Amino acid sequence: MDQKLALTSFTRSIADAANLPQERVGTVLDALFSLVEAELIKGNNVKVKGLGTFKISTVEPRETRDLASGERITIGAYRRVSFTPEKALAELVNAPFSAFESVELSSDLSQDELELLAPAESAAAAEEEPVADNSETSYNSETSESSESSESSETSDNSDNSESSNPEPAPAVAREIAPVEMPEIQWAEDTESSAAEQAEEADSSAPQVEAPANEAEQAEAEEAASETAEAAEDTADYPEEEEEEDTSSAKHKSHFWLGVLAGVGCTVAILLGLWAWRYFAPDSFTKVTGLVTTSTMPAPAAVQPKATPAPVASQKADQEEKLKEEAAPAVDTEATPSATDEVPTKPSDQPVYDYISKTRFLTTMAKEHYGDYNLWPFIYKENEAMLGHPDRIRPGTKIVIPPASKYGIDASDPACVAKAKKMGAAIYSRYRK
Amino acid sequence: MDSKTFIETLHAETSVTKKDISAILGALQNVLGNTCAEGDSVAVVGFGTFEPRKREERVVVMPTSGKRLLVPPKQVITFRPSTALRNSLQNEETASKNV
Repeated sequence: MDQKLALTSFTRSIADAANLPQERVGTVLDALFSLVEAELIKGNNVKVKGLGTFKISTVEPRETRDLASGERITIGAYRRVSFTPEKALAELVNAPFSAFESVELSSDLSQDELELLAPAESAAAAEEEPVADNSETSYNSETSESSESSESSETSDNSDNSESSNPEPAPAVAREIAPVEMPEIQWAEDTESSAAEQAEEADSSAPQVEAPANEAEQAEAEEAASETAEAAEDTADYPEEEEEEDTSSAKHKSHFWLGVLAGVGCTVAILLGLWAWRYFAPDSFTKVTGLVTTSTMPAPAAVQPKATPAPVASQKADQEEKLKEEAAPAVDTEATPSATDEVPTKPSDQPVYDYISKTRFLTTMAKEHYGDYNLWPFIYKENEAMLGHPDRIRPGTKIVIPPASKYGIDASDPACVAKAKKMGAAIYSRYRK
Repeated sequence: MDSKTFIETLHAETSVTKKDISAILGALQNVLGNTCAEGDSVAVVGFGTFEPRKREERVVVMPTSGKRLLVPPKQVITFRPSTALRNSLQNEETASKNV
């Protein structure tokens, strides 16, 4: 693919196919192309059977500016060769695409098709040559195309303009430019609102605008036409809208909102699921997320006494083992800070729970339950499995306060306190990286 | 010059039978067609190159019915004259300012 092969490399295969000696074939081919050239120089078109028609045409002199200097120059007349393959050859070349056929389109234009329409305008004017079965020269069709486009931009309402400017028998192919203008015109005539029509007139009677503007107008016109059945008032609005905004069709807009709706629905579903989980299986929920299930939960579960926070002063007064029992009654009358409820404390051999909050730390709990905040490592140890860094425990975490007897916690015992301090240091060192 | 005259002239010049000339032309058509169908160009020295070109699909409007059609993409064969040919075609009386 994309290779340039010399014809001479094919003489062998041609000779085999024609059943002739290679030399002969070479001679004939040379003579062939020389003859074509000679005829072209004379000014005659040459039709070669099996290949096609070689035509010679003259390009008129034209004025432009020199690219480097910028001064006006005239490009002189010159002669140009064009080649139109004959049908058999064209079909051979199109073999890879032979399976396709033209397909009629529905009346709604999708974004892709709109884009196809727009380049068709500029591309057709710029470089495209006529199709094989069109017997016109490229020169002729180019001039006819450019005259078509200029004419159709001037007279908008005349739907016959394409036919009058192109008298030659050219089928749909040569009408790419004009027909693209035509939907604008036709739809404009179809719409009921006169406002739309006038706007279309004004727009298309202006000198040929850039492709994007044209495309946007067209999109508006197409859209307007497809909705005439519903509301004639709508079409009046369309031509007045900004060009950039309204290029997407109604279909695409509804797709967008469907997507938004789906996203919102999913979010709601997820939230509902989470709440239900919280509601029905609070323990597993807490374990997984670390979020505590507060008093909104009806779950009885284990005992959930909440130790009452107490000022330091009253704590100091109760420095004994089995502090909780003493602490609770004495503290009942004291002021309570935020967050937790008052629950009577149980005897120490039953598990006691406490909750971490922004004001309650392990040290706070140690102070309350054991009498010395240095004894917090025991609490930490009890809940080791659940806790990470001791300074970073999520507020609301449920902490089990071990009974003092479990670890031999005794606030008054200096050895115990020292041991606790060591434990604390060990815990921190674990996390210091 | 039409095909008949062309073949006759060739026959006169090369003294190859017209039948053979037709056969050669047919074979030449196959060579060009098949090579270009695969995407390769065929160059004839001093004359020009036959190149394949792809035309993208496009939307056209049938001027008769006003319906829109989607024309499929296709591959066409084009001819690019060589410099020698272009020069020999120039009208030497009118000097062209651009080379």
